[in-house]
Parts: sequence; structure tokens; C-alpha cells
Amino acid sequence: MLAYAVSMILVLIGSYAVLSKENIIKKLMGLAIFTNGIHLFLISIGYKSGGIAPIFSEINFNYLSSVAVDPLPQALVLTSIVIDLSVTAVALALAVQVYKRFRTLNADKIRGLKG
Amino acid sequence: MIYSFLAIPVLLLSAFLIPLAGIKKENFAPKCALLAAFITFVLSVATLPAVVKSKVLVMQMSGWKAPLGISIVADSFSIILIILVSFIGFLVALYSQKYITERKREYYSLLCLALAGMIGILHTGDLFNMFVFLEITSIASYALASYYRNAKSFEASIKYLIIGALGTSFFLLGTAFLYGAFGTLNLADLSMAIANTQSSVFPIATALVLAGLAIKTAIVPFHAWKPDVITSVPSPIGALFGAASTSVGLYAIFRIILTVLNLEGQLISTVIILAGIITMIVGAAMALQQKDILRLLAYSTISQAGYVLLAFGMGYFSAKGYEGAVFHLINLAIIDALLFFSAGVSVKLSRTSIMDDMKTISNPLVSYGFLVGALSLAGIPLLNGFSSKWLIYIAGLEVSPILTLIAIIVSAVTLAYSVKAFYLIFMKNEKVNIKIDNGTKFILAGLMAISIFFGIFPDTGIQIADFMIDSFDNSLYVLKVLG
Repeated sequence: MLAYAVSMILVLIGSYAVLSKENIIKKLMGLAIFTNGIHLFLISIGYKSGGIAPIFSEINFNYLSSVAVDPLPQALVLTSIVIDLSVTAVALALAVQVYKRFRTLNADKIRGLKG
Repeated sequence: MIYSFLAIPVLLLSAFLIPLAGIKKENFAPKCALLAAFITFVLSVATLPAVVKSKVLVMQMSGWKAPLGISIVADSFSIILIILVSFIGFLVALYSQKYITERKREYYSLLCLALAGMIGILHTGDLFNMFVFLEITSIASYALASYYRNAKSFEASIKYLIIGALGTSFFLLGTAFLYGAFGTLNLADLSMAIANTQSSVFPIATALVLAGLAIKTAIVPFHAWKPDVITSVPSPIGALFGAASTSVGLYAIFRIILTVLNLEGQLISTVIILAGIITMIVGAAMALQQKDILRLLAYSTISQAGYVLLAFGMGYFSAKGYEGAVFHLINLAIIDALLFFSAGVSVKLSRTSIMDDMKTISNPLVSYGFLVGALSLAGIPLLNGFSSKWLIYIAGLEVSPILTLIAIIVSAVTLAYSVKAFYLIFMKNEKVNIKIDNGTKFILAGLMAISIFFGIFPDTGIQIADFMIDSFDNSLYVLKVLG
């Protein structure tokens, strides 16, 4: 339960930072916090206190599924971390280029496009 | 076997090969991308007969049964859109051959990647897999948005990235909620679970997933990124974002609402009708005041997506609504592609997209192409835009005449801004006598022919729409995927 609460707090902090901070780097940090909140949430869905690693072997399948943690969220989080990494890489590359062109990272001052 | 699914490995492989093999040979990248896009189109057309025969085609990845493995599905709704998107993708690749003259390797590699993601979204039968394909398309789109490497394009790209990443994060959070509540991610299995169990997190999960998709589809009030992005990309990519991305986004919304969440009901239909009306009105009103042709086309795409949503919302009350929605979805993609391709010739020639300063080509094919697109967009009879809008008007009369009235008024506004754009670009400005290449001629003539064909023979289009609507009822889908 604590993990759910913490993950939702992280999601809220992340979305607050994305929506209200002016600095693009801070917005990107907000995005990272947001995604990590979701990752924590996913992991805690599959978590089982005292659970074992979900490795399929000679053990009875029904017994395994009752004691092992849920492997699916872990697979999802691994995939999502990789995706998040590539989004962050593209984002930071773009932020560097934006800084070179505008000499600022303040999103309110970068206003070439309007209407 | 679903042949069209093989298109995804082909596209991903060419996206991987183009940057490597294209270093030595300048012309490898365009040719390879064109070939990959053509193979995609051929494969998707080749899948059509099997779908017509057995309604829903299902393929389980590496032989694991449905709830455990990842299902790849092609039903009548998705296969038509796969054909449509791969057709647009092929035209974009063909049009780019002459249009793109520098940094070909990154351009074509990203184009293949974006196309692979779109075909993937249309194919997948798994919610998380849909997220992955959504991100593939998105990351390629963020990079394509900054293709010109000037201040304008970087600004549009970073804005798009922040809004888009927020959208996909919402989608992922909604997916996580659904998994936590129902314990499955397979669309068919999830649909069964949602029908059988009550859960208190269902409304918030629905809201998050739909908001995420609405951001990616640019539905008002989540539309702000789209005009910026389309103004700063090359016109063929504008066509890809305007025509293909919008169809794919709307497909995902319809698929989630109808197949997965079983949301059909008065409340959600009313919400969709309202969202559609707001999108229509805001899109048309903003388009009316633009000086930039690409920005105008971006807003008009948003406005037309509003029509699709309006018709889709009316589908619950009147059978004509769904017909109008899917038919307009097809027409919207064709008209948008035609407009972007014909305007793109002038944008490329005059190196600006401000309508007053643009030069135009004396070749009548380009100006007629734009004229057909503009009139069709406004719903002038004998063109395809009219056929689908007529269905929407009829459906509106059955639901509430006010909806028809709004739709007709917005059509009138559409006529105003599209004719204004045609006049400013093609009649007022100076004409230059330059030859256009055969590929562009073929594209414009082909799209015009399709547009006029669906206008004169609307029955064919309505038959296609009826064929697509068959899969709006999810019982067969669930049965085939799980069975």
C-alpha cells in the first residue's frame, strides 16, 4: 500500500513539474519522475511479500504461481525503461540544440511559433 | 499467417540498414525506403482476401496461447486502415524522392521507423504492445519534426516531445491501472475481464488511456503541438502526420472504446459528440485566420478529425453514424494527403509557406489537385468529402438536427478557408514554369482519381465502411483471439 502511495506521489510531482516549471530541463526531469512513478507502480502491482523468483522449473506450476512474484510487470518495466531512456536521449539532444539557437531554456521565452 | 504483419520486420530492417549501407551510396536510402514501403503496401493488400473470408485473422507470437503470448490481429476494421496507411506511406516515400535533397539517410530511416510503428499499432492485440509501437512512432516523429535543424523546427520538436511524452506516460499509467485491476493486457481477454468484474479504478484508467491517445491524435484541447510540428516539417512528412497519424490515432481510440472497454453507452457517446464538435469548431475557426498554408492544413486536419469523432459518437444512436465515421476517416486521409502533396510542390518551390509570398507552378495538375482537395474537404458534391459528410448530416438529423446544423456551418467555414487558400496560392501569385517529376504527377493524379471515384460512386465507399463496421461488434474478435 505504501508503494502505491509513493508511486502516485511521484506521478503527481512529475506531472506538476512538467506542467508548471518553465525550464525545459526541469520539465524533462519531471517526465523522468513521472515515468519512474509509473514503473514503481507497475512493480508494486506484481510484488508479493516473501515471494520467490518466477523461474519455471520442475516445481509444480500451481505451487509456483502461488508463491512467485508476477513476472509480467517486471518485463513491462524493463521495456518501458529502455523506451524512457531513448525518449530522454532524444529530448536532451533537442534541448541542447534549442539552447544553441535561443540562448535560453526558458519555455516561456521560446516562442517563435504562434497561432 | 498475417502477411501484412511481415511488413513490420521489413520496415524495421530497412530502418536499420539505411544508415549503415547508405554511407557509400547516396541513392541507396531513398530506393530502399521506397521498396520497403511498396512491399508493405503489397503485403497489406495481399492480406485482404483472407480477412474478407474469415473476418478476424489471429496470429500468436511464438506459439503461446492468447492471454500469455502476444496476439497479432487483423480484422476488417484494421486491415482497411493498414492498406490506407501503407498506401499513404508509399506515396510519402515516392514523393520524398525528389523533395528531400539532404540528410537522406536519417530522413528515410526515421520514415521507415514511423511507418513500422503505425502498422504495428494497427496490428497489435495487446495493450502494452500498443504502447511500445506508439512510442516507436512517437520517437521517430520527434526526430522527424526537427529534420530542418533550424530554430523553428527544434522549438516545435521539443514542444511535441514534452507533450507527446506526457501523453504516452498517461497511456502507460492507464495500462498499469488496467493490469492491476483486471490482471491481463490482451485486448480480447481484457474485454472479457471488464465485462465480468467490477472495479473502482476502471473510470480513471479509461480516462488516462483515452487522454493519452487524444494527445497523440491532437483532439482539442490537446491539439496545440500539431500546427507547430506540421509547419516545421517537410511537406511529405506533413502528409504522413496529417493523414496517417490521425487515422492511426482515431483507430486506437475506436478500438479501445469498442473492443476493449465495452464503453458503448449514452454518456460516453455524448462526451465524444461534444469533443467532436469542439474539435471541429476550434479547428475550423483557427484555420480561418492562418496566413501559413501548412498551419492552415494542420488546423483543417484537426477540424476534420472532429467530424469523425462526432459521427462516431452518433453511431450509438443511429446506424449511419458509424458508417459516416469510418468513411470520413478514409476520405480524410486521402484528401489530406492530396492537399499536402499539392501544396508541398509550391512550398518547396518558393521556400516559404506564407500564402501571400508563395510562388506557384503553372502545371495545372498541381493547382487542380489542390482545388479538388479543397472542395472535397468542404463537402462539395461529386467529391469524396461530400459522400461521407452526407452520411454524417443524415445521422445528425436522426440524432438531433442541431448537430447537422453545426456540421453544415463548419463545412461552410471549411469552404471559406480552403477556397481562400486556393485563391491566394494558385491564382494571385506569380506562376513559374517548372517541370514536376513523374512520381509527383502520378501521386496527384492517383489521389484525385480516388477522390472523384468515391464522390461519383459513394456506394463503393459505403460498402467498404459497412465491411469495416462489421468488426465494431467485439464478440467475434474475442472468440477468435482467445479460441
